[in-house]
Amino acid sequence: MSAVNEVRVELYRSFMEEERAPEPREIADRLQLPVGVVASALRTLADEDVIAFLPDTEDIWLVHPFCATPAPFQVTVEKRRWDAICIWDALGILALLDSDGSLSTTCPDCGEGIVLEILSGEVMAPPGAIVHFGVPVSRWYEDVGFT
Amino acid sequence: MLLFRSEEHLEAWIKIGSPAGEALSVQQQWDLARAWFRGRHLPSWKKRTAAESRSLFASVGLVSDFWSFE
Repeated sequence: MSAVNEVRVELYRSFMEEERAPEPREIADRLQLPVGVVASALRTLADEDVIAFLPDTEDIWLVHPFCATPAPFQVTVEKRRWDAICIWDALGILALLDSDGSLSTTCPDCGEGIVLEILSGEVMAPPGAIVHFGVPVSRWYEDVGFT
Repeated sequence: MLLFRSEEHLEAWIKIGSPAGEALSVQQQWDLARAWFRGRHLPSWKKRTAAESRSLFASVGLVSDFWSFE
């Protein structure tokens, strides 16, 4: 497996098992790779839009669908919790985990809380709840935070 | 990519200057999330081509140019 792929798999392991983004030094230690190789792999993954750095840094922000910082969507599976920047990613976390669980957010129009649940693999939503995509797919990665 | 309480709430939000974009049902979004993200953590995962992505969107009924990477 290439170093880039090893680093990618380790990022997902960390989010899925520990609910957090690892530091490059931790990745290097775990994979027994030089930190410079890990940093280069992270840049490659960011160039390929597999991950995203916080603006103007090389700190891990997104490992799609996971978000390393507090975000508007909270995903819960039993006592475990993750953040997501959008409904696509929030449901993506539950899909990736292949687990029942729930997500909560607020309606952008009125601020009232909305909760979706996954039960036995089926999605349960309040009547009338609707998803909106504002940005065409071809422009998703121009500004992933806005998208 | 947001979640609204209802179509009325979405329309009110668009009226104050947000992009019209496209709306889909929660079920469509769940189907899309499962198809898009499952297996993404595995060593064998490969990023989809634009054509593969378009095909995946079409599988849940999303076929307009809005859903094209090209």
